[in-house]
Amino acid sequence: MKRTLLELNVNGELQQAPTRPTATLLDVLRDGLHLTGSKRGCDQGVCGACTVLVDGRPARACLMLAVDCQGRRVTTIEGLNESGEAAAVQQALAENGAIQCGYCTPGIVVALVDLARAGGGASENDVRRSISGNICRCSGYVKIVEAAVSLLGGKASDGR
Amino acid sequence: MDYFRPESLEEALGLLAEIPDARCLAGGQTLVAMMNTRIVAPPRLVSLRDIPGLDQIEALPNGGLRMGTMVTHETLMNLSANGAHRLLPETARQIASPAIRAFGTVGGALCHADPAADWPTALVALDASVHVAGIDGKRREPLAEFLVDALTTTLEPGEILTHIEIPPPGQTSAGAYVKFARVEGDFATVAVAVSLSLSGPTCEAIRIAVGGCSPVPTRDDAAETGLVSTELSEADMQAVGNSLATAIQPEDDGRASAAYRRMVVPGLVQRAITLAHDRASEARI
Amino acid sequence: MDGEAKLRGVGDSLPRLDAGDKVGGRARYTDDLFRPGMLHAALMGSPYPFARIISCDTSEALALPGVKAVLTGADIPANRWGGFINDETALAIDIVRYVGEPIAAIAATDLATAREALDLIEFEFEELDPVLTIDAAMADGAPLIHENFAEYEKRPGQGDLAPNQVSRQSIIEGDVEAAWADCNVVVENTYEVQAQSHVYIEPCSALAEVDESGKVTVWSANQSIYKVQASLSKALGLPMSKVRAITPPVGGAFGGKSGVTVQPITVMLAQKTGRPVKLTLSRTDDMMMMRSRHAARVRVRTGAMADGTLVAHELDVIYDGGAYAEDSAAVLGFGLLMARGPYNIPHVKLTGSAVYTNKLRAGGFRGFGNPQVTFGTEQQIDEIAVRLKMDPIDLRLKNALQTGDLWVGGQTVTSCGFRECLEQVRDAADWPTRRQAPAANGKRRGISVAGVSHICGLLGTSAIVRVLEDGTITLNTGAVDIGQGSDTVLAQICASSLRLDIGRVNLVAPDSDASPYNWGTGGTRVTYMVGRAVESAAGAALEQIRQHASEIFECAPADVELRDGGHVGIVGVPEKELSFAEISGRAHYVTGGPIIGTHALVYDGQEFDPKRALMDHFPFARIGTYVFGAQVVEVEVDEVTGQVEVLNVWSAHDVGRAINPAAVEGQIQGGVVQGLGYALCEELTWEDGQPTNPTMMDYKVPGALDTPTNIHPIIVESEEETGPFGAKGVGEPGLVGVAPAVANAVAHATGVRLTRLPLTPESVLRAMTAE
Ligand SMILES: Cc1cc2nc3c(=O)[nH]c(=O)nc-3n(C[C@H](O)[C@H](O)[C@H](O)COP(=O)(O)OP(=O)(O)OC[C@H]3O[C@@H](n4cnc5c(N)ncnc54)[C@H](O)[C@@H]3O)c2cc1C
Ligand code: FES
Ligand code: FES
Repeated sequence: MKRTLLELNVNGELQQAPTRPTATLLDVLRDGLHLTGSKRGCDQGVCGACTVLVDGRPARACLMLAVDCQGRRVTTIEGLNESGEAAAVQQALAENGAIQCGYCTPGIVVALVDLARAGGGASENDVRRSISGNICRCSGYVKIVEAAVSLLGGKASDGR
Repeated sequence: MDYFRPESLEEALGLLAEIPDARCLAGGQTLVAMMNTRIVAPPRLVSLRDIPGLDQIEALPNGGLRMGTMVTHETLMNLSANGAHRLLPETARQIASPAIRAFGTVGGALCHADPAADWPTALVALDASVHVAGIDGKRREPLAEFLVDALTTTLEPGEILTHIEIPPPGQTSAGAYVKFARVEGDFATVAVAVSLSLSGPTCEAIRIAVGGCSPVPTRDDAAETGLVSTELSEADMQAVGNSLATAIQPEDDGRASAAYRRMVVPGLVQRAITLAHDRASEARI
Repeated sequence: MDGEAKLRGVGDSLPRLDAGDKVGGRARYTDDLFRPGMLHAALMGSPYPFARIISCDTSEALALPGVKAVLTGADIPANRWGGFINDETALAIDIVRYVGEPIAAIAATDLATAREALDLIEFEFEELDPVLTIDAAMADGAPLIHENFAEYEKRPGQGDLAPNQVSRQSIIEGDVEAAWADCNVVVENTYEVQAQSHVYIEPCSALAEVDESGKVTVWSANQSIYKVQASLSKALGLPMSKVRAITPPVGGAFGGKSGVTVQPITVMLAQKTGRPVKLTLSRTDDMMMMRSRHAARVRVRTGAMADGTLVAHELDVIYDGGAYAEDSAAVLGFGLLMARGPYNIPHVKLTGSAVYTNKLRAGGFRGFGNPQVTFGTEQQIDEIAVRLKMDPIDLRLKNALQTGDLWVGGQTVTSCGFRECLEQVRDAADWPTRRQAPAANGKRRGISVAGVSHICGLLGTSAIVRVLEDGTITLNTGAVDIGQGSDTVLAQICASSLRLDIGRVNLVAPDSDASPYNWGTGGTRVTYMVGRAVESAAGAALEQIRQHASEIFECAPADVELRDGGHVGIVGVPEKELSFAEISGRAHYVTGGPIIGTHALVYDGQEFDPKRALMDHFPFARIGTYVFGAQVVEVEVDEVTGQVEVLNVWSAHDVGRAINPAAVEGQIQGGVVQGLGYALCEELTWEDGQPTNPTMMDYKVPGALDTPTNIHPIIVESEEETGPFGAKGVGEPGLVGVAPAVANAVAHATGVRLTRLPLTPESVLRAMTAE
């Protein structure tokens, strides 16, 4: 199959990977760059396990064409590990027992980092909305939400 | 497949014209999902994201809004709008989930024309019209005419939807978007969008669109006209709900049966009108 | 020094050992692994529910550049494996039996090429009449789904089976027929439950490599390295010693990865190409090719006296096993064992069967046959309460089992916190008030309860505790942590058994070349069974430490005491103390040899009592120790849409002892939400044998906004004497009572009783408007 050399800005570094033109960002991250922290759970945008940041916004890596990401800033869980917000989110999740199998976890960390960066205190509903596209089949969400609210909370719960 | 990211509309139109079946790439939130499952395999993609202006929202002098096709659901969710235009953020926040809202576009949703999608319903209720550019020129048409059938619009191969225009909201106007789906952020099983304006306690104008129940959003002109100059009593609302339940052409699908949709439309229509009415009344006070 | 800080071990809500790796995206699951020269594989599924393969042409696919191997049923050994009946092969041979059944496999240099090549394979089929329902399978003259069924190798004791029957069993106690006459109230109904997809977020995946000697190494997502090893050995015709199974972190399983999944075909591709091969299913392939929970039809009849005493209970269940037998016989047997529930009912007749149909095979799924029967039984208990105008919790309390009572089949229940569970949910839910709570406008409101029972136990397991030279510990059990947290819990048990901080315990990842035998992760057994092995293995290591210490101290071993933080001393002499490091150093270099404590056991509880109960073709002599729970669900039903919103769930569970309370809560909450999906929205559907919703877009599992914010886990500790530190298990029960509790709450809210899962808005609205 035809391949082109793609140049992507991933985690602050310009990286090159030979790629099929129809490859998604997730394909390139995982198979091309071996950045396997972003998981593939559905390839249809539903599960959220592949969530990364593109130009600072949460994005489904499985629904972004890699070629269309040239010239954009891509940040994966591996890149976030350097950031303070991520460290706080990660610690809160780990200490609250919010992790089970962990397959959804990197995507949830990315979603919660986005929420943390929005600033201003998050209600339980804000937290649930921010991870509403991240399916966790193990935890029932309760401990994830509790962890995030304990870290980012500040607004009274506004119900749903 | 080849891929281009032109920097002008003319260039984009030229690239589309070169190859039959070439497609626009907007947010990709629908198109890439279809490519992943190999439902479609376009020979060429023309990304619209570097064309200047397509991601802008502009307030028109008459109070209307003009938004580029590439405006994202997220942008609309954060829009501060007046009166019935608040239907825009209210609809946007019910679409999918944050990551999809951040990249999915209003134009992409209209062009894909999924009968269960939210923008067709909401924007028909707002009486939106669309601007389309082709290699031979531009045209403007009401959204209700642009949407022809499920997954079908009047777009000819090679044409690009460039803008969506919404008329000004009425004096004391409000909107409401009531969506019923299997789970939060799913496509609608049934959705009802209402935009109305009041004059004192009476209804001055109203548009009601029902989504998820027919190939394209359903309105009932006569029933709407019947509501004008009324105070939107429960009986009035019931009547319009019942007539919309008859007007829809639902099919059985994985979300619900056709019969169920007919059962719930009246109640949901009433809910949406009540909500919009209460909001407009509040604005009046 | 160590002794001063509090030792972290049993009873502490410690973070998972792998939490740091997982939050950072550093945990490497099977699909995250790469080997030099690795190929990628993809599978082709059958387009027909039932058909004969007439011919197949793979030449075009093979000719595609990048394709390294194409296998079809004609190219693989016809070795069959299975749970009780060996009916499965790695690819369909001659006959396809469900839509999606793998019929061809391709290995290529990249995944896109492998998938593209699948389109180039040409199959010719002769369609057969598919058997798509339980009734069709049992009908006279129904087509035989397995025409060579008689020739398959089977576990002994399967008995005579009707055509398309996989298993038939019964448990009978007392005299049900005569007992109906004593009942003042009898309720009877038929319940239907659907197929639920596991939707573990990590699709099934395997990576296989073959060395010069023909020895196979397989990394895969699974629930038991030893089951993988045994099934692969059968599938490949290799001795077990030539098969090495390794389990990287697993992204959820819930029973769906308890047998082999894609390992056999992945190995066959690796053998064929001589290169490492990785096969990870797409979500749709996973949903169409792997497993689901058994759909079932359950006919139940329950009778009670006017004072609420339960007298008789009759239940007949038919499980739809799909195209292959898998664990159906065990699911049936276990379902029957749970069918009476945690109540003293003197007269019971529990019968059932499992049948083949031309649909996706059904297998183990959290609850293992129990949710299906409990959906019927627990609704009937509620109905009886309504009929007798009794409070549903009081009625359950009146009949509740207690420690020392007998389970159906005659085992004595050794620890039972059922009453306490009922009382605790009643108090926590403020039950009397909420039973009366008014509904909001346009809504109906209701609250009700279900009792829960399950087991923990099953089969063989072992553990090795090694004391390293510096006094730290390496623990090796072969148990697979599928996300439920058993690694952490086992390390806690090990640490506390040795009075060490958990930081000093290193856990070995499951590897059949290195780990001792473990039957698997299932049956809510790991904490209880493997925990017992760990506790005893630690005890064995301690004995050796004690022996060394007594030699050094020149005292009797009995005078040596274990002290916190890896020390031993002489009783009553505080200044006499040795560290594990000193002792282990002596063992390694001076005398005795390295300290290795081991323990192995097979579940050893009381056997069923054939004098008490007639157990026909029941596949187990004993299964496990009983666990209990009670679940209260409060709902609001929308009068316009029929949608059920769950406002609150209280879920109390007798776990014996909570080794890691946060992990216990996580199991309960996760089980409850999976149960809510089962109760309200999840259903795999077929039309003419074609799956209609095998994607996450179409098959909806609950997200964070679909689940109640108030799921209250309540831990009840009954201290099981045989359990490690008194612990039992909690992996499955959180799911078991949710669906009947929801149905009971909906009945309380609306006055209508729904007998079919899931309780979709449509079904609820229809029932309400028909009322
Ligand atoms: C998991 C998931 C959940 C979703 N839930 C919802 C939901 O609840 N409600 C809802 O309404 N939607 C939902 N969507 C769809 C989402 O809103 C999409 O973003 C949207 O429908 C398409 O927008 P896009 O910009 O991504 O378009 P693309 O995917 O880029 O394009 C869609 C189609 O339109 C064509 N096209 C795009 N722009 C133009 C243009 N300007 N001119 C001509 N042709 C064009 C493309 O060629 C393509 O055929 C969901 C999607 C996913 C993946
Ligand atoms: S893999 Fe991208 S959302 Fe599931
Ligand atoms: S922890 Fe397993 S999917 Fe979330």
